[in-house]
Amino acid sequence: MKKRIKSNIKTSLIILLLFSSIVSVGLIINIFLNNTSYSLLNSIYVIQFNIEYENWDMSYNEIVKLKSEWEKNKRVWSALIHHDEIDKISENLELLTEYIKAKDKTNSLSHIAVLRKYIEHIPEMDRLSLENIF
Amino acid sequence: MIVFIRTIILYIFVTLAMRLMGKRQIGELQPFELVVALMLSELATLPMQDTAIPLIHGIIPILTLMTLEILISFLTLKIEFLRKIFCGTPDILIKHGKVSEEELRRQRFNLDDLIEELRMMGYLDISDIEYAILETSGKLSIIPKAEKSPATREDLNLKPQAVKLPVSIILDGVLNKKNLAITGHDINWLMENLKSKGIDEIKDVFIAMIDSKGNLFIQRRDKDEEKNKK
Repeated sequence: MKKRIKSNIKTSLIILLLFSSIVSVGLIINIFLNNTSYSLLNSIYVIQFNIEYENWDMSYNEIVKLKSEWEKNKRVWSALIHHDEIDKISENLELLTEYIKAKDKTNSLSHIAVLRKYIEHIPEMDRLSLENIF
Repeated sequence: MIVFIRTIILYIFVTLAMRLMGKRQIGELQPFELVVALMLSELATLPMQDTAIPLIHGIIPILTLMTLEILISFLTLKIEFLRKIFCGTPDILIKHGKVSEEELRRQRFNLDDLIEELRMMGYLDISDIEYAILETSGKLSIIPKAEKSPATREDLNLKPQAVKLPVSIILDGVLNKKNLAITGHDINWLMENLKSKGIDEIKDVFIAMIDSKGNLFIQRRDKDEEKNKK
C-alpha cells in the first residue's frame, strides 16, 4: 500500500515537474524576446528621429550600434524563432544602412518602418493571446 | 552536416520520449497513445529537414506530448470514468453464437471484416463462438463454445510438469556468472557437465542454458567458428 502511494506521488511529481519546466522555458523565452526587441526598437526610434531631421551622421552612428547589437541577439534568436524572420530583419538592416549612407530620406524612412514592424512582430508572435492560439 | 546533427539529436530525443512513454507495441496502442505516436513522428521530421525551424520548435511540442501521454495514462489508470472516455470500452460483437447487429452498426464493423477476423483466428463458423469481443485496442478476442475449445491437460487428466524459467548460462562462449548463481550451481558443476559432453573450455560453447524442464542444454560452437575464435 505504502509502495503504491509512493509510486503515485513519484509519477505526479514527474508530471508536475515536466509541465512546470515546459511552461517556465516558454515564459523565459517570452521575456527574453520582449526585452531584446524592446532594446532594438529604442535604437530604431532614435534612428527614425534622426532621419526625419536629416541628421545623417548621427543616424549612421546609431545604425552601426544597432547592427552590432543585432549581431549579438541574432545568435540567441536563431535558437528561438523561425530563421526566415531573422533573415528578413538582417536584410532590411543592410538596406537601411545603405540608404542612410546615400542620404536617401524616403527610402530610409520606409525601410525603418518595415524594420520596426518586423521586430515588433517577434514578441507579438509569441505573446499568449487568443489571436495567436487560434 | 547541420541536418545530420539535427537528425541525431531529434532521433535520440524521440527515442527517449517513446521509451519514457512505456513498452506497449504499436498494435496494442490505445487511441490517445496512437495519436501521440503519429504526432511525434511528424513533429520530429519537420525540424529535421528544415534547418530554418529552430530545434526548440520541435523539442517543446514533443516534450508536451510526452508529458500529456504520461498524465493521461496515469489518470486513466487511477480513474475509471476517464479510462472509459480515453480508452473506450470493449464491445461484444458475438454473444452465444449470435452476431449483434446493433453493435456491428455502432462500431461500423462490417460482416466481411468480422468473418475474415474469425477465419484468421482459426474459427470457420460463427456458431462455434460463444463470445467475440472487440477490444479497446481494436483487436478481436474470441472465446469459443465450451465443446469447440481446445482440450486442456486438465480435460485429459494429464499432470503437467512445473515449468521453470529458462536461464542462459553461456552465450557465444561468454559465461554469465550472475545467471549461473541464479540456477544454484557453481562453476565446477558447469565444467563437469561440459567435460561430459567433451568440451574443455567455456569459449567452445555456443549456447548453454537451463531449459524450462530444469535440464542443462549445451550446444558446441561450429568447428570452423572455433578455429576463427582461436
